[in-house]
Amino acid sequence: MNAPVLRTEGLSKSFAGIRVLDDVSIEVRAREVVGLIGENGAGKSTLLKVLAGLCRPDCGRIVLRGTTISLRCVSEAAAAGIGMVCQEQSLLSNLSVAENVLLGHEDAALRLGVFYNWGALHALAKAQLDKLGSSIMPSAQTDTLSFGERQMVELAKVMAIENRTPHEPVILLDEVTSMLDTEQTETVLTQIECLRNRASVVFVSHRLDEVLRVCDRVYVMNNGRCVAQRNRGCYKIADLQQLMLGRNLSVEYRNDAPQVLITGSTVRLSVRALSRANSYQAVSFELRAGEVLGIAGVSRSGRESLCRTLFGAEEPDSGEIVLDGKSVSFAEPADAVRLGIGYVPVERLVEGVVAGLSVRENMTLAHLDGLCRGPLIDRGRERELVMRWVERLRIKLRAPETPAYQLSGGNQQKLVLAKWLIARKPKILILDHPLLGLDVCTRMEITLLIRDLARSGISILLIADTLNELIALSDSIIVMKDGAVSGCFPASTERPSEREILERMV
Amino acid sequence: MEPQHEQGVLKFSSFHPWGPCVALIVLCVGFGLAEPRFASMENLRVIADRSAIPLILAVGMTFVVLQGAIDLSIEGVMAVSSLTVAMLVLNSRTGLDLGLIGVLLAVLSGVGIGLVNGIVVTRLGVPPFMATLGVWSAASGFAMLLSGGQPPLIHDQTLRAFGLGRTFTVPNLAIVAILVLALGYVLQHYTRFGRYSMAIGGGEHLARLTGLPVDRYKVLAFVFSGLLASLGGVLGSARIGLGHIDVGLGQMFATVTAVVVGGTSLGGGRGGVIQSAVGTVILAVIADGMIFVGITPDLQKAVQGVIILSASLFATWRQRGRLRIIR
Amino acid sequence: MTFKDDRSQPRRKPYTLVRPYVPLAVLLALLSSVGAIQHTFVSPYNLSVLADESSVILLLATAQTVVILLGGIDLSMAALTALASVLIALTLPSMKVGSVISVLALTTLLGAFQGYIHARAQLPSVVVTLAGLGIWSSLALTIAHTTIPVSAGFSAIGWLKGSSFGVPHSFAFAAAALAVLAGSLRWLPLGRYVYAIGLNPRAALLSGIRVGRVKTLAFALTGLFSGLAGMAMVARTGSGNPTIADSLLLPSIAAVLIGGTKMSGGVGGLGCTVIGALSITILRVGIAATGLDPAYEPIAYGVLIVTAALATDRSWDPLQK
Repeated sequence: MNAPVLRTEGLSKSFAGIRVLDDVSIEVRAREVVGLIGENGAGKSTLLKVLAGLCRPDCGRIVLRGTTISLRCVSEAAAAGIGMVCQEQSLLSNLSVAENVLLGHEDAALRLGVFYNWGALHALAKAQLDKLGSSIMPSAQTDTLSFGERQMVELAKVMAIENRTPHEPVILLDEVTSMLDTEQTETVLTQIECLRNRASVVFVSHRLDEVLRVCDRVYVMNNGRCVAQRNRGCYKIADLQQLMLGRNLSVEYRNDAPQVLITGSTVRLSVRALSRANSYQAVSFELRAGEVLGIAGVSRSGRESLCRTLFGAEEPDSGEIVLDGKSVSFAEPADAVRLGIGYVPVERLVEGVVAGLSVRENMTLAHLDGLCRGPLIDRGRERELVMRWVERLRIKLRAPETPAYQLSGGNQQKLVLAKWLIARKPKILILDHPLLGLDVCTRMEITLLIRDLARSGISILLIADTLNELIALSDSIIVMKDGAVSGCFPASTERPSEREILERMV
Repeated sequence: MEPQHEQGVLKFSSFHPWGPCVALIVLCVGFGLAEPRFASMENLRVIADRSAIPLILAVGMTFVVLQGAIDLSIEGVMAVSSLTVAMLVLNSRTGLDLGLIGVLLAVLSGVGIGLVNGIVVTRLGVPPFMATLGVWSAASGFAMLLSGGQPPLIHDQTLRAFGLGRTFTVPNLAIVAILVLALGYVLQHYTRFGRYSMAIGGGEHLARLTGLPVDRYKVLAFVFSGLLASLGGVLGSARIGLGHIDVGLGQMFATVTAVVVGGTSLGGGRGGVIQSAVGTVILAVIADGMIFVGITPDLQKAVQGVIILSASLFATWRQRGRLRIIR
Repeated sequence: MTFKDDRSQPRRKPYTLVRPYVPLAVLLALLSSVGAIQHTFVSPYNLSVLADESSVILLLATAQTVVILLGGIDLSMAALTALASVLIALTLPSMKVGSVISVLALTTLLGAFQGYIHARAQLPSVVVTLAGLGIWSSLALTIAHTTIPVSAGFSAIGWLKGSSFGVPHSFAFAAAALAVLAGSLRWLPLGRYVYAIGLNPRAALLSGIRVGRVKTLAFALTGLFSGLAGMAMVARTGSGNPTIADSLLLPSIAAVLIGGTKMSGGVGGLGCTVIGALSITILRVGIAATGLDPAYEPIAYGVLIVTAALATDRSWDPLQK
C-alpha cells in the first residue's frame, strides 16, 4: 500500500572494533510513525545518526524514494529532507531561538542577500514554532531556556526542513521525551501524531508506553541487529520487553560458582543521600567487601554520573560517601585513587588508556609511586611486574614497549584493568561497561576475572551492557530511573529476572 | 557508546552587560575628583584622540576573539602598513606620490597579512596564537627590511592634515573610529559574518556539524582584523608624519585588554564591538588618569596584564569542572 | 557473532620514517650553508662562541619544552628573564650570592603562581602567560628604565663567563641544567605524568595523576629557568637589560618547536630541544656572520614557528580531530 520512503539495506557500522550495527534493514513508509526500541547499546542512536548523515556506514545502502543516496554530512541529509533531533543538544546557546531554528538557511530573511531582516527571521522561526503549538519567543536567547524548551526548539529546527524540500520530510527523533515532564511529553507526543499527516517519523524511546501510543509499527533492536518488527495492535508491552532482551547468541552467562552469601562481610562503601543537580538525587546504598553490585538503568538514569562521582571525577551537591567507616570527599580522582578506588571507563581509548604511551607505561600509570626506589622509578621492578600481569591476564602483545593504540579492544580493556591491580590491591573497582565490544573469548576471560577479583575481597560496582550480563555478574542489583533508585535486589540465592529489572528501568 | 555529556544547561558566564559601563563612569568620576584637570574639555578631547586608533584595532580584534581565537600579529601589520604608506605617498625616500592609491595599497597589505593568518590557521591547522605570533614576527622583520636605517618621512600634506586635523572640532581620527565602530556594529548584528562568528565561538563543532562554512568565516575574521590594523597603522603614520616600525608598539596588549575588559570573553561566543569600544575608552581613561595621579606610563602594561587576568578569571570562574581540560 | 577488529597498522609512508631526523638534518644544513658562505665559521673558536651565544636560549627552551610537552605554552618566560636580569644587576653589589638566590626564588614563585592560576582557575596557559608577559616586562621597565651595569659583586656570577677546555662555562651550565631536567623526565614519575597529560589529559586525570600539581610545578620550573637565563645574561653582558624580552621570546619558542617537540603535547623532549636551540643560534649568528640584514632574523623565526607547529602525523590518536 505504502511504498517505503526510506529504506536501509544491510547497514553495518563498527567503532574501534565494536560492532554497533549489524546488517540492519528497515523501512519507513510515507506518513507513518515507526518506533525503534532496544536496550542500551542496541544500535538505535547509531542507526539514526547514519540516516541523518552524522556518520557513514561501513557497508550497506540507504534508499530514499527509490534512489540510493550517500550522505556525507548533515546538510546533505537535510537537503534530502531528513532531519534529526539528537539526544545531545545541537543548539548554540549564545544565539537566539530564531537563529538556531534557521541556522544555515537564513536566505529567505536576508535583505540584498547580506543583511539580516530580523523581523522576517523571527516570523519564519515563529512559523515553525507554531507548528508545534509552542509559545517560545523567537527573539529569546537560547541559554535562557529550560531543557524542555530547548527540545522544542530542536523540533522546530527539524520542522524547518519541510520548507526546503518538495517532498515530505523524514524526521528522526532520538529520545526526545526522556528529559521532559508529563505535560511537555504530552505536547510532543500530540505533535508527533499531527506530524503523521505530513511526514514520516522514526521515534526512539525507552518508554514503551509512549511507543505504544504513537507508533504504527515498531522495530526491535538487539546488539546491533534488527530482531523483530511488529505492527500496531499486534503487540503488548510485555512482548516488546521480551523481544528487547532476546536470546543472546553468545555464551549464556550461567552462574556456575555458587553465590557466596556476603551479608556477613564488612560494609566497605556506604553512600547516603548523594545528590547532584540534573544527574541523580538522594541515592543511598551499601557495598560490602567482595560484593559485586550491579547498577541497572537507561542512558540518562544517572548511573554513569553516580559512578564518576564515586571516583572523584564529578562533584556531588549533597550527601555523604563513607569509605571503611570514614566519611570522605574527593577533590579530584587522585584522591579516590589514593584511597584504593579504581575506575574502568566505558570509552577506553579516550579515557582509559593514553594511546601514545607504551603498554608498560600505561599499566604503571596509576601506581607509579609504589614502584619507586627512593625518588626514581625502579625500572627493573616495573618491567617484572608488567610481564607478570601481561602473563596473568593473557594480554597478547609483542613487547611491553608496544604503543597502547596497537592493542586490540579486548587487550586494551585488560590493560586498563591491570592498571588498577598492579602494585596495590584496590579496595573498590568501578567498572563502566567492562565487556562492551569484546569478542566472546575475552568476555569470558574478563567475566571470570571479575569473579576472581570479587572473591579475593575487592568490592565491585558494575554497569553492564545487557541485563543478562548484569544478572550473571552481580551479587546484588540496584535499578536507577531518572536519577533516583527505583529498585533494589539485594544478594540472595534467588536471582531477579530480567523482566523485573526492566520494569523498574523504564 | 556515546561519549559522556555533562548534564545541565551550559551557561556562559560574563559580566552583567552594564558592568563595564558602570566601571567607566566610576573611573571617570574617581579620577575627576582626584584631579580636577582630568574633567576638562581639553582633556576629554585628548582621551577621544588617544582612543581613536585603539578603537579601530579593537573592532577588528573583536571578531577574531568572538570566534574564540586571538590575533597577536596586529603590531606587525601596523608596522608594515605604516612603512608601506610612508613609501607610497609623497615622502623623503622614494619618488612616488600615489596619494589615496598609496593609502589603499597600504591598507591592502593588512588584508594580505590577515589572509596569511587565516590560511595558516584553517589550512595548516596551526593554533591561532601560534600562527599570529609567527606572522607578527615575520611582518615585523619585513617592516624592518622596508625601513632600512632611515624611517621615511611623509611629505604628503593632505594625509598629515587629515591625521592631525579636526572637523567641526572633532578630531578626524575620532570620526574614522566612530565610522569603523558603526561598520563593526552592522557587521556583527546584521550579517552572517557577525552571527556565524558568534556561532563559531559558541560551539565550533556544532557549527561545523550543521554545515556552516566555518573556515571561510575564520579567514574573514583575520582579514578584517588585518584590514583594520593596517588602517590603524596608516592613521598612526599620518599623525606622527613618518613610517616607523614601532608605530603600533604596545597595541597588541592594549587591544586584547580592551576587548577583555569590555566583556568579550577570550573563549569566544560572548561580547561585541560596542563592548570592546567601552573597554577601549576605559583603558584610555585609566592611562590618562594614571598620568595625572602620577603613575609612570611604564606601569601601563602591568596594569593591563592584571586587568586581563582578573577579567578572564571573573568571566570563566563558573565554567570550571573537574574533568574540563584546558591547555 | 563475530567482532571485527578494524584497527590496522598505520600505513608507513616513507616520510614518517624520515620525520624524526628532520630537525637534525635542518641543523646540519644550516651549519653547512653558513659555513659555505663564511668559511671561517666552522672553526673551533667560532663554534665555542656559538655555544656561548646559545646558552641563554637553551635555558629558556629547556623549561619551555616541559610546558609545551604538557600541551600549553609560556609566553612570559622572556619577560621574567628581563626582570630577573634587572633585579640581579641591581642587588648584586649589596647581596652578592644572596642576590642570585633570592631572585631565583622570586622567579620560581612567580612562575608557580602563573601555573597555579592556570590550573586552578582553568584559564588557558596562553591567557595567563600573556598577562604575565605584560606584568613582568612592565615591572622590569619601571624598575630600570635602561640597562643597568653591574657595579660590584660580579664574582658571584663571574664564573659563568669564560671557558675551560674550549667549552664555554655558560654553555656547560645550560647543558648541565638540561641534562638534569632530561634525567628527571626520564627517571622520575613526574616525567611520565608530563607525557601522559600532554597526550591525553583526560585519561591522565582518570588514572589518578594530580594534573593541577604537575602543571604548577612545570610553570615553577619555567620561572626558575627564566631566572637562570637572567643570571646567564648578566654574566655575559655585565649588565641587566629590561628590554631583552622582546628578542628572546620568539627564538626560544622556535627552538623548542623546530627541534621536534609538537605543539599539541606529549611528543618530543629535551634531546630535540638541544638540536633546536643550536639551530636557532646558528641562524642568529649566521645571519650576522654572512652580512644579511638582521631583519631577516624575525622573519625566519616567524616562518619556522608556523611551519614547525604544523599538525603532525597522529592518525593513530583517537583524540586528534
